[in-house]
Amino acid sequence: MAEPLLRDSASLEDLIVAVGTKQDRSAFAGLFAHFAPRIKAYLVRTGSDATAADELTQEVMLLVWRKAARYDPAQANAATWIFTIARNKRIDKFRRERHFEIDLEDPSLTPEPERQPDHHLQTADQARRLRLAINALPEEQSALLNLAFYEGKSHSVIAAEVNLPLGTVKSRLRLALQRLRVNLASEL
Amino acid sequence: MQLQETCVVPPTRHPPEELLLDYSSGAASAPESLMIAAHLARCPECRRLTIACDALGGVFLDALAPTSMPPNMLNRTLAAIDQGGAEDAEESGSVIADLGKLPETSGWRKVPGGYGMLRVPCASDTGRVWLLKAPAGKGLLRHRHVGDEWTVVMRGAFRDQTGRYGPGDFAYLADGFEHQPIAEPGQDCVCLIMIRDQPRYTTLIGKLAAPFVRL
Repeated sequence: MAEPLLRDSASLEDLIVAVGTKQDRSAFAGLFAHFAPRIKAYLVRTGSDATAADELTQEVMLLVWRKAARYDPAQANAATWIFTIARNKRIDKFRRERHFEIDLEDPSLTPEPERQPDHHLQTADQARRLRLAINALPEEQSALLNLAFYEGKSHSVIAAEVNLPLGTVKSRLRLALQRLRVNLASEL
Repeated sequence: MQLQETCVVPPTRHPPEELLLDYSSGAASAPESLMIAAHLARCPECRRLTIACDALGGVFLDALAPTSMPPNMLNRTLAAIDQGGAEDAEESGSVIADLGKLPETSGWRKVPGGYGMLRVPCASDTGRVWLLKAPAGKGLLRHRHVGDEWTVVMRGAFRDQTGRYGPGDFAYLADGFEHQPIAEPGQDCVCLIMIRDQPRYTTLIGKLAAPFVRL
Protein backbone atom coordinates (compact mmCIF):
# COMPACT_ATOMS: atom_id res chain seq x y z
CA MET A 1 0.00 0.00 0.00
CA ALA A 2 1.53 3.26 -1.08
CA GLU A 3 2.30 5.39 1.95
CA PRO A 4 1.89 8.77 0.14
CA LEU A 5 -1.76 7.97 -0.48
CA LEU A 6 -2.21 7.86 3.24
CA ARG A 7 -0.53 11.11 4.15
CA ASP A 8 -3.85 12.84 4.18
CA SER A 9 -5.16 11.44 7.41
CA ALA A 10 -8.76 12.10 6.34
CA SER A 11 -8.45 8.97 4.24
CA LEU A 12 -7.54 6.91 7.29
CA GLU A 13 -11.04 7.47 8.67
CA ASP A 14 -12.48 6.30 5.35
CA LEU A 15 -10.34 3.17 5.52
CA ILE A 16 -11.73 2.24 8.93
CA VAL A 17 -15.26 2.80 7.64
CA ALA A 18 -14.50 0.59 4.60
CA VAL A 19 -13.26 -2.17 6.90
CA GLY A 20 -16.32 -1.80 9.10
CA THR A 21 -18.92 -1.75 6.36
CA LYS A 22 -17.38 -3.95 3.65
CA GLN A 23 -14.68 -5.98 5.42
CA ASP A 24 -12.39 -4.34 2.86
CA ARG A 25 -9.00 -6.06 3.05
CA SER A 26 -7.07 -3.54 1.01
CA ALA A 27 -8.42 -0.78 3.26
CA PHE A 28 -7.19 -2.84 6.21
CA ALA A 29 -3.80 -3.20 4.53
CA GLY A 30 -3.68 0.59 4.27
CA LEU A 31 -4.47 0.99 7.97
CA PHE A 32 -1.90 -1.65 8.80
CA ALA A 33 0.81 0.08 6.77
CA HIS A 34 0.21 3.36 8.53
CA PHE A 35 -0.61 2.32 12.07
CA ALA A 36 1.05 -1.03 12.84
CA PRO A 37 4.62 0.40 12.84
CA ARG A 38 3.44 3.29 15.03
CA ILE A 39 1.52 1.06 17.43
CA LYS A 40 4.65 -1.04 17.78
CA ALA A 41 6.73 2.08 18.42
CA TYR A 42 4.20 3.17 21.06
CA LEU A 43 4.28 -0.23 22.78
CA VAL A 44 8.08 -0.27 22.80
CA ARG A 45 8.19 3.26 24.22
CA THR A 46 5.78 2.26 26.97
CA GLY A 47 8.00 -0.60 28.06
CA SER A 48 7.31 -3.62 25.90
CA ASP A 49 10.14 -5.61 24.33
CA ALA A 50 10.19 -5.87 20.53
CA THR A 51 8.85 -9.43 20.27
CA ALA A 52 5.97 -8.82 22.64
CA ALA A 53 5.28 -5.55 20.83
CA ASP A 54 4.97 -7.39 17.49
CA GLU A 55 2.53 -9.82 19.03
CA LEU A 56 0.52 -7.11 20.69
CA THR A 57 0.47 -4.92 17.60
CA GLN A 58 -1.12 -7.81 15.75
CA GLU A 59 -3.74 -8.14 18.50
CA VAL A 60 -4.47 -4.42 18.34
CA MET A 61 -4.90 -4.58 14.56
CA LEU A 62 -7.17 -7.59 15.00
CA LEU A 63 -9.32 -5.49 17.32
CA VAL A 64 -9.30 -2.70 14.75
CA TRP A 65 -10.79 -5.16 12.27
CA ARG A 66 -13.38 -6.42 14.72
CA LYS A 67 -14.44 -3.07 16.10
CA ALA A 68 -14.40 -1.17 12.81
CA ALA A 69 -18.15 -1.65 12.34
CA ARG A 70 -18.72 0.37 15.50
CA TYR A 71 -16.37 3.18 14.47
CA ASP A 72 -17.99 6.60 14.15
CA PRO A 73 -15.82 9.15 12.33
CA ALA A 74 -17.85 11.97 13.88
CA GLN A 75 -16.66 10.92 17.32
CA ALA A 76 -12.98 10.25 16.85
CA ASN A 77 -10.40 10.57 14.13
CA ALA A 78 -8.56 7.42 13.11
CA ALA A 79 -5.43 8.03 15.18
CA THR A 80 -7.45 8.83 18.32
CA TRP A 81 -9.62 5.76 17.92
CA ILE A 82 -6.65 3.47 17.36
CA PHE A 83 -4.72 5.09 20.20
CA THR A 84 -7.50 4.18 22.64
CA ILE A 85 -7.56 0.57 21.41
CA ALA A 86 -3.76 0.27 21.71
CA ARG A 87 -3.79 1.90 25.14
CA ASN A 88 -6.49 -0.42 26.47
CA LYS A 89 -4.73 -3.46 25.06
CA ARG A 90 -1.49 -2.39 26.72
CA ILE A 91 -3.22 -1.97 30.10
CA ASP A 92 -5.01 -5.30 29.70
CA LYS A 93 -1.85 -7.15 28.71
CA PHE A 94 0.83 -5.67 30.91
CA ARG A 95 -1.02 -4.60 33.99
CA ARG A 96 -3.76 -7.21 33.71
CA GLU A 97 -6.17 -4.51 34.63
CA ARG A 98 -9.22 -3.07 33.09
CA HIS A 99 -9.56 0.48 31.91
CA PHE A 100 -13.09 1.43 32.80
CA GLU A 101 -14.67 3.53 30.13
CA ILE A 102 -18.00 5.03 29.33
CA ASP A 103 -19.77 4.46 26.06
CA LEU A 104 -20.53 7.85 24.56
CA GLU A 105 -23.74 6.39 23.11
CA ASP A 106 -24.93 5.23 26.52
CA PRO A 107 -28.38 6.81 26.98
CA SER A 108 -27.89 7.01 30.74
CA LEU A 109 -25.13 9.61 30.36
CA THR A 110 -25.99 13.12 31.42
CA PRO A 111 -26.34 14.85 28.04
CA GLU A 112 -24.48 17.91 26.82
CA PRO A 113 -26.37 21.09 27.72
CA GLU A 114 -25.75 22.34 24.18
CA ARG A 115 -23.35 21.51 21.41
CA GLN A 116 -19.93 22.74 22.34
CA PRO A 117 -17.37 23.96 19.82
CA ASP A 118 -14.62 21.48 20.67
CA HIS A 119 -17.04 18.75 19.83
CA HIS A 120 -15.64 18.95 16.36
CA LEU A 121 -12.21 18.28 17.75
CA GLN A 122 -12.20 14.80 16.37
CA THR A 123 -12.15 15.58 12.70
CA ALA A 124 -8.88 15.19 10.86
CA ASP A 125 -8.62 18.95 10.55
CA GLN A 126 -8.87 19.31 14.28
CA ALA A 127 -6.04 16.82 14.66
CA ARG A 128 -3.93 19.15 12.55
CA ARG A 129 -4.87 22.11 14.74
CA LEU A 130 -4.14 20.13 17.86
CA ARG A 131 -0.72 19.24 16.47
CA LEU A 132 0.05 22.90 15.87
CA ALA A 133 -1.15 23.79 19.34
CA ILE A 134 1.10 21.13 20.90
CA ASN A 135 4.06 22.47 18.95
CA ALA A 136 3.33 25.94 20.28
CA LEU A 137 3.48 24.79 23.91
CA PRO A 138 6.51 25.76 25.99
CA GLU A 139 8.99 22.91 26.09
CA GLU A 140 8.58 22.44 29.85
CA GLN A 141 4.90 21.63 29.24
CA SER A 142 5.16 19.54 26.08
CA ALA A 143 7.96 17.46 27.61
CA LEU A 144 5.58 16.38 30.36
CA LEU A 145 2.87 15.46 27.84
CA ASN A 146 5.48 13.43 25.99
CA LEU A 147 6.25 11.44 29.13
CA ALA A 148 2.55 10.94 29.81
CA PHE A 149 1.67 9.59 26.38
CA TYR A 150 4.91 8.03 25.20
CA GLU A 151 5.83 6.34 28.43
CA GLY A 152 2.35 5.93 29.87
CA LYS A 153 3.42 7.45 33.17
CA SER A 154 1.12 9.07 35.69
CA HIS A 155 1.72 12.68 36.68
CA SER A 156 3.01 11.59 40.09
CA VAL A 157 5.51 9.14 38.58
CA ILE A 158 6.60 11.83 36.13
CA ALA A 159 7.16 14.26 39.00
CA ALA A 160 9.39 11.75 40.76
CA GLU A 161 11.35 10.99 37.62
CA VAL A 162 12.02 14.50 36.46
CA ASN A 163 12.67 15.53 40.04
CA LEU A 164 10.11 18.29 40.16
CA PRO A 165 7.69 19.02 42.99
CA LEU A 166 4.33 17.35 42.38
CA GLY A 167 2.62 20.74 42.46
CA THR A 168 4.85 22.03 39.64
CA VAL A 169 4.04 19.05 37.42
CA LYS A 170 0.33 19.43 38.12
CA SER A 171 0.31 23.13 37.31
CA ARG A 172 2.35 22.67 34.12
CA LEU A 173 0.01 19.95 32.90
CA ARG A 174 -3.03 22.06 33.76
CA LEU A 175 -1.53 25.03 31.92
CA ALA A 176 -0.82 22.85 28.89
CA LEU A 177 -4.38 21.54 28.79
CA GLN A 178 -5.80 25.03 29.25
CA ARG A 179 -3.68 26.37 26.38
CA LEU A 180 -4.74 23.54 24.13
CA ARG A 181 -8.38 24.19 24.99
CA VAL A 182 -8.06 27.93 24.36
CA ASN A 183 -6.17 27.35 21.14
CA LEU A 184 -8.74 24.96 19.81
CA ALA A 185 -11.65 27.14 20.84
CA SER A 186 -10.22 30.29 19.23
CA GLU A 187 -9.43 28.61 15.95
CA LEU A 188 -12.93 27.37 15.43
CA MET B 1 -10.49 23.47 60.93
CA GLN B 2 -7.87 21.66 58.88
CA LEU B 3 -9.12 22.90 55.57
CA GLN B 4 -6.61 25.66 54.88
CA GLU B 5 -3.62 23.56 55.75
CA THR B 6 -4.41 20.26 54.21
CA CYS B 7 -6.90 20.62 51.42
CA VAL B 8 -4.52 21.74 48.69
CA VAL B 9 -6.96 21.10 45.88
CA PRO B 10 -9.89 23.52 45.92
CA PRO B 11 -13.17 21.63 45.93
CA THR B 12 -14.32 21.97 42.32
CA ARG B 13 -16.63 18.93 42.22
CA HIS B 14 -14.52 17.70 39.29
CA PRO B 15 -11.40 15.55 39.12
CA PRO B 16 -8.28 17.72 38.78
CA GLU B 17 -7.22 17.88 35.13
CA GLU B 18 -4.05 15.85 35.62
CA LEU B 19 -6.20 12.91 36.71
CA LEU B 20 -8.13 13.09 33.43
CA LEU B 21 -4.80 13.13 31.63
CA ASP B 22 -3.69 10.03 33.58
CA TYR B 23 -6.99 8.44 32.55
CA SER B 24 -6.40 9.18 28.88
CA SER B 25 -2.74 8.22 28.82
CA GLY B 26 -3.62 4.90 30.43
CA ALA B 27 -1.62 5.57 33.60
CA ALA B 28 -4.71 5.47 35.81
CA SER B 29 -5.19 2.24 37.75
CA ALA B 30 -8.39 0.20 37.36
CA PRO B 31 -9.96 1.68 40.53
CA GLU B 32 -8.97 5.17 39.43
CA SER B 33 -10.43 4.66 35.96
CA LEU B 34 -13.65 3.34 37.50
CA MET B 35 -14.00 6.48 39.61
CA ILE B 36 -13.27 8.76 36.67
CA ALA B 37 -15.77 6.88 34.45
CA ALA B 38 -18.46 7.23 37.13
CA HIS B 39 -17.92 10.98 37.14
CA LEU B 40 -17.69 11.28 33.34
CA ALA B 41 -21.11 9.66 32.98
CA ARG B 42 -22.59 12.63 34.85
CA CYS B 43 -20.29 15.39 33.66
CA PRO B 44 -20.34 16.52 30.00
CA GLU B 45 -17.63 19.10 30.73
CA CYS B 46 -15.04 16.58 31.92
CA ARG B 47 -16.14 14.24 29.14
CA ARG B 48 -15.15 16.87 26.60
CA LEU B 49 -11.75 17.34 28.21
CA THR B 50 -11.20 13.59 28.26
CA ILE B 51 -12.09 13.32 24.59
CA ALA B 52 -9.58 16.09 23.91
CA CYS B 53 -6.93 14.20 25.92
CA ASP B 54 -7.63 11.05 23.89
CA ALA B 55 -7.17 13.16 20.77
CA LEU B 56 -3.80 14.26 22.17
CA GLY B 57 -2.94 10.57 22.47
CA GLY B 58 -3.91 10.18 18.81
CA VAL B 59 -1.65 13.04 17.76
CA PHE B 60 1.25 11.60 19.76
CA LEU B 61 0.70 8.13 18.30
CA ASP B 62 0.58 9.51 14.78
CA ALA B 63 3.77 11.51 15.32
CA LEU B 64 5.83 8.47 16.30
CA ALA B 65 8.52 7.37 13.88
CA PRO B 66 7.33 4.04 12.45
CA THR B 67 9.23 1.03 13.76
CA SER B 68 10.10 -1.80 11.41
CA MET B 69 7.79 -4.79 11.56
CA PRO B 70 8.78 -8.36 10.83
CA PRO B 71 7.91 -9.41 7.27
CA ASN B 72 4.51 -10.97 6.72
CA MET B 73 2.92 -9.38 9.75
CA LEU B 74 0.05 -8.15 7.64
CA ASN B 75 -0.54 -11.61 6.17
CA ARG B 76 -0.30 -13.20 9.57
CA THR B 77 -2.87 -10.75 10.89
CA LEU B 78 -5.18 -11.40 7.95
CA ALA B 79 -4.80 -15.14 8.59
CA ALA B 80 -5.74 -14.59 12.23
CA ILE B 81 -8.78 -12.64 11.06
CA ASP B 82 -9.79 -15.56 8.82
CA GLN B 83 -9.42 -18.02 11.66
CA GLY B 84 -11.57 -15.82 13.82
CA GLY B 85 -8.88 -16.47 16.42
CA ALA B 86 -8.22 -14.55 19.60
CA GLU B 87 -11.30 -13.91 21.63
CA ASP B 88 -12.93 -10.55 21.35
CA ALA B 89 -11.18 -9.20 24.40
CA GLU B 90 -13.23 -6.08 24.57
CA GLU B 91 -15.72 -6.10 27.34
CA SER B 92 -19.06 -4.87 26.31
CA GLY B 93 -21.74 -3.92 28.76
CA SER B 94 -22.09 -0.53 30.29
CA VAL B 95 -20.01 0.21 33.36
CA ILE B 96 -22.47 2.91 34.21
CA ALA B 97 -25.52 0.66 33.93
CA ASP B 98 -23.71 -1.91 36.08
CA LEU B 99 -22.88 0.69 38.69
CA GLY B 100 -26.43 1.99 38.60
CA LYS B 101 -27.77 -1.47 39.40
CA LEU B 102 -25.36 -2.09 42.27
CA PRO B 103 -27.33 -0.24 44.97
CA GLU B 104 -30.23 -2.68 44.39
CA THR B 105 -28.14 -5.81 44.72
CA SER B 106 -27.95 -7.92 47.80
CA GLY B 107 -24.61 -8.31 49.45
CA TRP B 108 -24.59 -5.00 51.24
CA ARG B 109 -22.71 -5.26 54.47
CA LYS B 110 -24.74 -3.64 57.20
CA VAL B 111 -22.89 -1.35 59.53
CA PRO B 112 -24.48 -0.28 62.86
CA GLY B 113 -26.35 3.00 62.52
CA GLY B 114 -28.07 2.12 59.28
CA TYR B 115 -24.99 2.47 57.10
CA GLY B 116 -24.21 0.03 54.35
CA MET B 117 -21.12 -0.94 52.41
CA LEU B 118 -20.70 -2.87 49.22
CA ARG B 119 -17.37 -3.80 47.70
CA VAL B 120 -17.20 -2.95 44.01
CA PRO B 121 -15.04 -5.48 42.19
CA CYS B 122 -12.42 -4.04 39.92
CA ALA B 123 -9.73 -6.69 40.05
CA SER B 124 -6.84 -4.62 41.20
CA ASP B 125 -4.53 -4.45 44.17
CA THR B 126 -3.82 -0.75 43.73
CA GLY B 127 -6.85 0.48 45.61
CA ARG B 128 -10.27 -0.53 46.82
CA VAL B 129 -13.60 0.77 45.66
CA TRP B 130 -16.70 0.68 47.80
CA LEU B 131 -20.22 1.89 47.60
CA LEU B 132 -21.06 3.50 50.87
CA LYS B 133 -24.62 4.26 51.91
CA ALA B 134 -25.46 6.72 54.64
CA PRO B 135 -29.06 7.17 55.77
CA ALA B 136 -30.59 10.58 55.08
CA GLY B 137 -29.44 13.12 57.64
CA LYS B 138 -26.76 10.90 59.15
CA GLY B 139 -23.13 11.73 59.42
CA LEU B 140 -20.04 9.60 59.16
CA LEU B 141 -17.45 9.61 61.89
CA ARG B 142 -14.97 12.39 61.74
CA HIS B 143 -11.89 10.92 60.13
CA ARG B 144 -8.60 11.96 58.66
CA HIS B 145 -7.37 10.52 55.39
CA VAL B 146 -4.07 8.83 55.05
CA GLY B 147 -3.43 8.89 51.35
CA ASP B 148 -5.86 10.58 49.03
CA GLU B 149 -9.45 9.47 48.79
CA TRP B 150 -11.75 9.93 45.84
CA THR B 151 -15.52 10.08 46.14
CA VAL B 152 -18.22 10.23 43.49
CA VAL B 153 -21.79 10.78 44.63
CA MET B 154 -24.12 8.28 43.00
CA ARG B 155 -27.38 9.23 44.75
CA GLY B 156 -28.53 11.81 47.22
CA ALA B 157 -26.06 14.35 48.51
CA PHE B 158 -23.70 15.00 51.39
CA ARG B 159 -22.11 18.03 52.96
CA ASP B 160 -18.87 18.63 54.72
CA GLN B 161 -17.00 21.82 55.57
CA THR B 162 -16.17 22.32 51.87
CA GLY B 163 -19.84 22.43 50.86
CA ARG B 164 -22.44 20.27 49.21
CA TYR B 165 -21.79 17.34 46.90
CA GLY B 166 -24.66 16.10 44.72
CA PRO B 167 -25.03 13.30 42.14
CA GLY B 168 -21.99 13.00 39.87
CA ASP B 169 -19.86 15.35 41.97
CA PHE B 170 -16.29 14.27 42.45
CA ALA B 171 -14.60 14.94 45.76
CA TYR B 172 -10.84 14.71 45.81
CA LEU B 173 -9.78 14.50 49.41
CA ALA B 174 -6.10 15.01 49.89
CA ASP B 175 -3.80 13.13 52.21
CA GLY B 176 -4.31 14.33 55.76
CA PHE B 177 -7.67 15.94 55.08
CA GLU B 178 -10.02 15.60 57.99
CA HIS B 179 -13.75 15.83 57.58
CA GLN B 180 -17.13 14.65 58.75
CA PRO B 181 -19.47 14.24 55.81
CA ILE B 182 -23.19 14.33 56.58
CA ALA B 183 -25.87 12.96 54.26
CA GLU B 184 -28.49 15.53 53.36
CA PRO B 185 -31.94 14.99 54.82
CA GLY B 186 -34.60 13.54 52.55
CA GLN B 187 -32.71 10.81 50.74
CA ASP B 188 -30.08 8.23 51.53
CA CYS B 189 -26.71 9.16 50.17
CA VAL B 190 -24.86 6.55 48.12
CA CYS B 191 -21.25 7.28 47.23
CA LEU B 192 -18.59 5.47 45.30
CA ILE B 193 -15.38 5.68 47.27
CA MET B 194 -11.83 4.76 46.37
CA ILE B 195 -9.38 4.32 49.15
CA ARG B 196 -5.67 3.60 49.07
CA ASP B 197 -4.98 3.56 52.79
CA GLN B 198 -6.90 3.18 56.00
CA PRO B 199 -8.47 6.36 57.31
CA ARG B 200 -7.16 7.25 60.73
CA TYR B 201 -9.96 8.09 63.11
CA THR B 202 -9.30 11.14 65.19
CA THR B 203 -11.86 10.85 67.96
CA LEU B 204 -11.92 8.21 70.66
CA ILE B 205 -15.32 6.93 69.59
CA GLY B 206 -14.02 6.88 66.02
CA LYS B 207 -11.04 4.82 67.06
CA LEU B 208 -13.27 2.41 68.97
CA ALA B 209 -15.70 2.10 66.10
CA ALA B 210 -13.07 1.93 63.37
CA PRO B 211 -13.10 -1.87 63.15
CA PHE B 212 -16.81 -1.75 62.34
CA VAL B 213 -16.52 0.68 59.52
CA ARG B 214 -13.20 -0.56 58.33
CA LEU B 215 -13.07 -0.11 54.58
